[in-house]
Amino acid sequence: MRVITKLRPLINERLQIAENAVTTRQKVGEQAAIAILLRHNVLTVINEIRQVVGAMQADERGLLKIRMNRHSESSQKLQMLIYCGSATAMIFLFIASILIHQDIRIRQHVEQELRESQTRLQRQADELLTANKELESFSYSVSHDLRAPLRGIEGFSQLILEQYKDRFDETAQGYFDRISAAARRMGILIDEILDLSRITRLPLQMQDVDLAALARGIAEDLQKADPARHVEWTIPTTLPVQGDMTLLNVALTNLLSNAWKFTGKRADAKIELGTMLKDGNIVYFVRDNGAGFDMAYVNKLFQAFQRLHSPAEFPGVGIGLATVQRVVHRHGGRVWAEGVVNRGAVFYFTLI
Amino acid sequence: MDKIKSLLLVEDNVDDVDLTLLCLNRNKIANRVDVVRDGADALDYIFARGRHEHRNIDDHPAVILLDLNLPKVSGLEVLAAIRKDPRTRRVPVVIFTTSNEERDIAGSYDGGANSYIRKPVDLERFNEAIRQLGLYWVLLNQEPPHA
Repeated sequence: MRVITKLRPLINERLQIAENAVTTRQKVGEQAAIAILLRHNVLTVINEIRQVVGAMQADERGLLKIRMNRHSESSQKLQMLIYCGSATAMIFLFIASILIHQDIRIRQHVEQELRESQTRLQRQADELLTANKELESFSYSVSHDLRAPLRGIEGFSQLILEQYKDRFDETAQGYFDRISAAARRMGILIDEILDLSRITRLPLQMQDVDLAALARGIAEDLQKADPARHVEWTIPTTLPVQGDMTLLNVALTNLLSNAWKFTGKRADAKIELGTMLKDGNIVYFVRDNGAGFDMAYVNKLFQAFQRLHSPAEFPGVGIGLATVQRVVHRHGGRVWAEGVVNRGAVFYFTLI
Repeated sequence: MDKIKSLLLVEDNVDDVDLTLLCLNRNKIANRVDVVRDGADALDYIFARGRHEHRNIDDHPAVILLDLNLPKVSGLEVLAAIRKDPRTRRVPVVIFTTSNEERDIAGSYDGGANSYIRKPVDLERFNEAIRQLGLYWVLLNQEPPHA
């Protein structure tokens, strides 16, 4: 700036001289113009100007040098910055790759486990299918092969009794009777087992079912089979549910026949089909005022072939409640019972 | 034409054979009963071949009592062969078996059985089944014309 302020009057002076010279040259002539230029010592002014410009150039060079230095400093910084940035990026990349690697390993592990559990499941499904087929062929052979010899046992002991009765005393005849009775009973047992296994095997056919209508039909059949008995039935007008009609009919038949059977020794027999609410769910029940049972044995009640009464007291093979339980379980429900000896029993069940 | 027709009993269980014959006898069903003990022998009898080649194939039994669970060739296979052949397809076949499996019953009717009877365990009911069976298929039923 300083140099420029010095330069401006010099240039102005030089321009003034030149102007004068030009004017003089036009007005007076070339000699007069040259005289003006010499008088004003033009060369000195030019030299001064040169010096000033030289100083400016020197200044400029200095500044350029400083700028160059600054530039190189900043580019070094930039380089450092780039290095640091790259290093950070590398670290991040490294961490990311480790994380990805870990993620891949976890994923592979999970996939491996998934595959294994799938294989396991498939194997279990295959085993189940095989077991089911075996069960089916087992029940088939029970139905066919185990039942056939019973006919021989029963038939030929009966034939002995019929054709050779006079050769045996009463005790021996009684024994033959017992052989054929046992064979007949076993035949019934086999049939019951088959019915029970069928209830498990057959696919459910869900539909609208009126439990009350089913119950009235069953009650009518029971009453017809034993018209001398008087039982007070309480059945609601309608009791709509969703379920498999055949299976629900089997279950209800078992429950109502049981109630009918175990109230057989009461003159004022009462059997009721009803509903109640428990924890927001509808619970269906069959209540009777018959022989009841001891709650100590409640756990045995629903097991196949477990009986709480002797066949002499109340006939039966002990499969009815096991059947009821299967039907209810197949409907996703629960079944339980309460009883008091000689006061009656209540069988509760839910259906979902 | 009035020749008394025979019955064919296809049964592998010797007890069941004896009980069946005894009950037929008790119920005065006097027709001759031919007994074969397995499915292959049953086919030989029905198509008059093998040890039965002297038989006249058109001499159909009044009814064939066919067990299902048989050695060599099953009852359902025997039934299928009978129904497939035009010479024998009208012969009455009654499935007489211990099984009450639904697939057996369905398979028998699908295969063209005329009736399905489950053999009862107790002799009294077995005898009653034979009595009705004999009465119906031997006396009451109008035999099919020859194909």
